[in-house]
Amino acid sequence: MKTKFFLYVAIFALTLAACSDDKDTTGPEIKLLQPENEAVFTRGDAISIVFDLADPSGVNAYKIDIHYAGDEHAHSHALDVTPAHEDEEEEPWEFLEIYDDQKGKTSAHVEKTVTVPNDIHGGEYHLGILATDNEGNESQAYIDIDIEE
Amino acid sequence: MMLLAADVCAQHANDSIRTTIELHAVTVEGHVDAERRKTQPQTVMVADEEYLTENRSHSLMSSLEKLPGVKAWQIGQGFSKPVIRGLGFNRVAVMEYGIKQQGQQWGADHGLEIDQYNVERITLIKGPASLQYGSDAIAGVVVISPPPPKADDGLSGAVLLTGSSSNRLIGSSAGLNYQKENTYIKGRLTYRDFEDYRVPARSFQYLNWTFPIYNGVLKNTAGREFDVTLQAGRSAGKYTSSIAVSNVHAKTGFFAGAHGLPTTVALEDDGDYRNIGLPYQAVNHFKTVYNQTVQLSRTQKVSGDFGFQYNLRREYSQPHTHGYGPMPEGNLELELRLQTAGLNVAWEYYSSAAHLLSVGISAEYQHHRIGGYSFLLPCFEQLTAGVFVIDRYHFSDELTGTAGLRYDAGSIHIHQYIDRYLPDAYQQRSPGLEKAQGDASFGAGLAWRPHPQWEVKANVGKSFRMPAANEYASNGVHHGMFRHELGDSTLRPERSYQADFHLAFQKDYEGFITQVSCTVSGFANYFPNFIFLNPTGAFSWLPDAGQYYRYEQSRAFRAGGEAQLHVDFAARFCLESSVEYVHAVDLRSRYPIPFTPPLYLATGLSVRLPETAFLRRTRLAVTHRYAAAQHRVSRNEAATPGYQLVDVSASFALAVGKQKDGAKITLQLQNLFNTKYHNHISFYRYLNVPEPGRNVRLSLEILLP
Repeated sequence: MKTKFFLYVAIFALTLAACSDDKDTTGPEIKLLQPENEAVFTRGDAISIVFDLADPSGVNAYKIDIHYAGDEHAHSHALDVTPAHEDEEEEPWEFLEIYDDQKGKTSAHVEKTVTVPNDIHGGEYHLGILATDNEGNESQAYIDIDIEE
Repeated sequence: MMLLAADVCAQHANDSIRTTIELHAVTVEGHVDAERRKTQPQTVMVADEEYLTENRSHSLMSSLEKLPGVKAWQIGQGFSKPVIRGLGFNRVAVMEYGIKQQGQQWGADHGLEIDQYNVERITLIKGPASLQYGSDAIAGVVVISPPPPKADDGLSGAVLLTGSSSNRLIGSSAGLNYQKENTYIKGRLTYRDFEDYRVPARSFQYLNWTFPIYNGVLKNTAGREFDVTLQAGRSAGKYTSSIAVSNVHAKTGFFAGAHGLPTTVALEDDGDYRNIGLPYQAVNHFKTVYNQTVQLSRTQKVSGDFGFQYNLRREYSQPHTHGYGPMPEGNLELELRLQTAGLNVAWEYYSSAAHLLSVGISAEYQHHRIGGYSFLLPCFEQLTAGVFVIDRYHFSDELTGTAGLRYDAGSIHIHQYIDRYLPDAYQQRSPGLEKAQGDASFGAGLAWRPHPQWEVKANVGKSFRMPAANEYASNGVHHGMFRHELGDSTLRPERSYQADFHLAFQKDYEGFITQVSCTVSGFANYFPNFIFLNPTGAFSWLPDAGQYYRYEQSRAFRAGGEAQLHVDFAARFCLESSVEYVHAVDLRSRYPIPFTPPLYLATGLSVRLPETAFLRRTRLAVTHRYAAAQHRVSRNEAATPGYQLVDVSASFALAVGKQKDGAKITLQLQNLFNTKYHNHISFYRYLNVPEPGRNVRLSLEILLP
């Protein structure tokens, strides 16, 4: 009886060992070259965004995401910080753009320029590059940037 | 199988023959169950009051994790839902009072809305059971069975107090039971309140940031639960009836980093671990069920269950505009109101000693409405109905065969949803849809006892599952999953062809070893059209959404099994060891199926101390759990390293006044070495947040004098 038990354990172990085929389960490698983390910009600046993408399955799409990180996300109300500018016209800036101009490439060098609008309120922002490969794997690289008040 | 279908689906009061209890470390069962399990071809496990008292954990399903093949999908430390042989959510049916529990079980952060202290017995069927239970039972069934009637008439009751250190849980549940002749009435109140839970880590890595976990406390994971249950029943001559009304209310926070990108500000310690801030969920589940059995003659019985449920789920989060439309008012992000009315009627006929025939119908109507400033799942109405016939034939005392056939049909009307604030191209979030589909299930099985010490069971069959409304028509971002989920209106009912076997051996010995029992179960499944979310590689236009994930159908193969060895020795000791493994692969892409639990080994040593007049049922146990690393992952699914945990527990009963077991005390030390580990099937896994650290859990149950 015990032999049978161990036999089954052995079968499980073999099944386990037999199925370790390597599949691509991770998104493109993103090397964000510019801007640097915690870089400071003022309204009207042109932000030069430079990065490298690499993926063995081929890049599918990528997205540039810039959004306000001051008080927008998921907080406790205990820390409800009122923005320094109560100016109604100064909305938090949000930039979202999806690109597929590198589709199919296993490595790519990308340079984009994004201009900071003049009517936004300053503070801490997240700047992220999100990328997918042809298998649907996704990766992100985020940094913090500052827009001067 | 048929007995089970009839007994479990349709009535509860007939389980009255309760004989001596045989004690095992894992399963404790009366002879009636034992007999039923032996002639039932499916792999069935029973967790009774004794097991539940000794293994009670954070939530109902966590308490069952010691049963091989059963896991809990964890949602923080307060809530969970069942995973059987690697499948859960809409693929495991949970039956209470004979009626299928209907909430929003598709959601990764939605727990099972059942009062865990109102559960005294659980029967688990591992493997497809849609023949008896209809759609959703494609991977297994968790049947919450009523406890047997008390031996003595009169008033009885118990108060349970429980506390646990890692989330500073304070819980209390009080039950009262009054029984006179053939009538009983009982009620239960349960309240739980817990803080944010502690993890053995001060930071976690997510994306390319390191976020702090202040004081090792996972901010905003606190929760509360308040449940009320009332039941009454009567048995008079041929008629047995019962009614149950229950309300479960649960409120729990989402970890502050789990909604949108985490920010250091949001994770800052707010000094209050017991508060529930935004984002959080509040769920209320109301249920009422009426059961009626009529013993028509010595050979015929009709039984019926009629139930109504109302699941109200609200999720709150701070709104943000993202440039489209005005800023929403209030924090109600998502409201899902699901009402379900269901019935089962079964007729049983014992044609002779050899045949037991059962014929039944079941029907269910669902009505779903939505609210909140965000959109995920549209309004819908759904009607499903099924008819089945199952025959069990006793070839001999040693061999029983069961065969059955079932047909189900369903239609769903999904409403259109237009979001006028969005750019034109995206305004239509749900196109509106009418679908009607049907499918047959069948199964055949044998239970054979070639020798008194041996038991062999085998089954083959086909099961099915209707696509759920979310699989047809969701279109939105669900919390911090960072993905935009899209339904597909062309999905067909999911089918599963399966074969499984179960071998059991049990022998008593004289001498040092007194009993050895061993079971081995195995299964293989083929799904020609397994439905699951697949990444598309295309980015969603919604902010914070990541890419589109679409519900797709693919060919899938799953196989695996469990083995368990149980040795009683030196009169008082028991060694128990189990192993379980599931292999699951999408045959089209060759990727593994996501959220498949890893190879798991559990070994426990326990001792029962001699009984005295004052101290009884003393059991000391130490358990070692080993989970292998899970490297077989799907796209975008992180591999999870293996881990080892040690748990220690002690339980005993004290005599109080005239009551022999007047006070039952259980002390558990979970994760003794405060090991930092990740659970592959946990809602917070994708955030890379570790599981709870060392936890001391004490529960005290006092019987009323």
